[in-house]
Amino acid sequence: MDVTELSEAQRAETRRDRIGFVFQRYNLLDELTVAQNVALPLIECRGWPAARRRDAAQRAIDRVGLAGKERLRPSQLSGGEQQRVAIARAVVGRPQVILCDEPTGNLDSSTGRLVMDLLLEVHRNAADSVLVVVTHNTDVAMALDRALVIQDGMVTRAGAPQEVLAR
Amino acid sequence: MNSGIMQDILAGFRGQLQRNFWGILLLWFGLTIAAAALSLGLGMAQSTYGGIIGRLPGDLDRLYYIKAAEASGVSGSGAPSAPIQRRGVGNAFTSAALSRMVGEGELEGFFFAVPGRPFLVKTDAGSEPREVMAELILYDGYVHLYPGNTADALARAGAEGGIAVNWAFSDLGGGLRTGDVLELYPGRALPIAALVGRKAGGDPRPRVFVPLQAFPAGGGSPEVAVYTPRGTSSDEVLAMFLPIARGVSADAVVQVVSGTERYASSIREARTVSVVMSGIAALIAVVAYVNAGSFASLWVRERTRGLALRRAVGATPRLTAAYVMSDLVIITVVSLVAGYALVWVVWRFWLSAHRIAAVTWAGLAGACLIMMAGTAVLGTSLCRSANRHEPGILLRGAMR
Repeated sequence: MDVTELSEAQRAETRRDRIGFVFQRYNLLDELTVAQNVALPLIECRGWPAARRRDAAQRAIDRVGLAGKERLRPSQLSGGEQQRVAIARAVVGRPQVILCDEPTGNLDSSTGRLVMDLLLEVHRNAADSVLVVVTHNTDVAMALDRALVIQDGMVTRAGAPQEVLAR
Repeated sequence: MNSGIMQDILAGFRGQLQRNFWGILLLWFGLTIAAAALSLGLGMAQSTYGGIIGRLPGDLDRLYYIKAAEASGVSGSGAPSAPIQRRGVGNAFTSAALSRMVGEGELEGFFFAVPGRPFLVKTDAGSEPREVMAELILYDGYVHLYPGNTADALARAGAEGGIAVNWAFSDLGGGLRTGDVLELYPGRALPIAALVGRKAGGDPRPRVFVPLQAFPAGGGSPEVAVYTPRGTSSDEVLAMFLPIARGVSADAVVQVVSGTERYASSIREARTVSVVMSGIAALIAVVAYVNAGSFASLWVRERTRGLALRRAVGATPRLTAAYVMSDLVIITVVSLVAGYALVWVVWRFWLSAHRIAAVTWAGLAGACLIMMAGTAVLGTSLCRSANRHEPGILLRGAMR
């Protein structure tokens, strides 16, 4: 698919239906509760009724271990918890691709490890999905199946992380 | 639009309110002033114009003021000067002759005024009658003296065998109501069947409107106002009334002034005032909207992160536009309500005391339409700017 040839509406639909995003700084909306943040990608979704959207959001929240915190605001959560909410939001629509931009960059190392474990687990449970992580953290890169090194916009190395990063 | 979107729009609006309360308050304030200025300006323009034009809506071309006078007391064409009246000329147009003309279809109606005189009023059965002063208007047939449904009210009063009084008489004359009894002359008491005229901006002279059939004493007047069938010219009216006046006095002259002529300067003045008032209102609205536009752009910029995030997770341009437009519509509606409340306060505690009829439905509706149109224009431009950039770029810019 050449996204540059899509209209803005088609690109929006692609983002909504096929891609889940996890940002370095979580990018949660504080005016919304955890459950509302997670359900955000489903708002315009395929004519789903409210109950189905709620159920899907609840399942995603349960998967990231935040059951019981649905009504809290993001500002009431720790950084790790906020990133979990962001992960739940990224996977709630069962996307084909999960794009993560430095998902552990804003977290301390132990929380970062927990978040990365969670991402991998979510990815393993989502059949046929691809997890793409942009990172400067070699520990994070080592946890993945394949690594690409990009320098000045060009892929300079590609392969298993151990091989690529050892060079 | 599903419930999730509505919920999200309201949550986004609430969040924005929490983040930038004072900015939003200023935006609301500006738009509230615009709504109030527009409502008042358009209302004043309409009531000023309507005060003259609306007094005889569509009827000026068949209203004629006819005056009989001595030849020596008339100064040519145009509005008559004070005539030197003799007894005969003073009653040139008798009510009986005019009524006959109405009956034969030569006139649709007529009225003439009898100068202020005292009446006895009884407001309930047991009370002592008291004396009040008012001008007497005798009429027959179709008479449209005031805006609105006055002609119908007068016709109804006549049909019910009662009389009508204007607001000045009912208010200034001591709170008269329909059903009160007014003694026109000894032994002839009639119930008040209708109140006519409007309180603000109306003629402040107390008046009693008496259908001719309720006033069998007869009488006449040197000046009458008549409603002619459509298409009757000034010359035809003159030809109709000159013989009547000459029948009373051989050297009587008759002057015919059409309603259009008589109100020409008032109409011009009203038009000018209406244009000026509307212009001022429009100017205030434009200035308010220019400022509102700046605030609204600021609003959208501040909502950039939320909008960008929604776009990143799949909101279509249509949904983004719905967010922006909903915000603006909420602000505009609240401003309109606040503006109307402000207008009401200004009218209730200030304008009404000066009998200025500045609040009209048309003014309120006009303000609403203009504000909504302004919001649509502003919103369209803001929607474009909200959708112009890629969400990823906006997110980075907004976050770092």
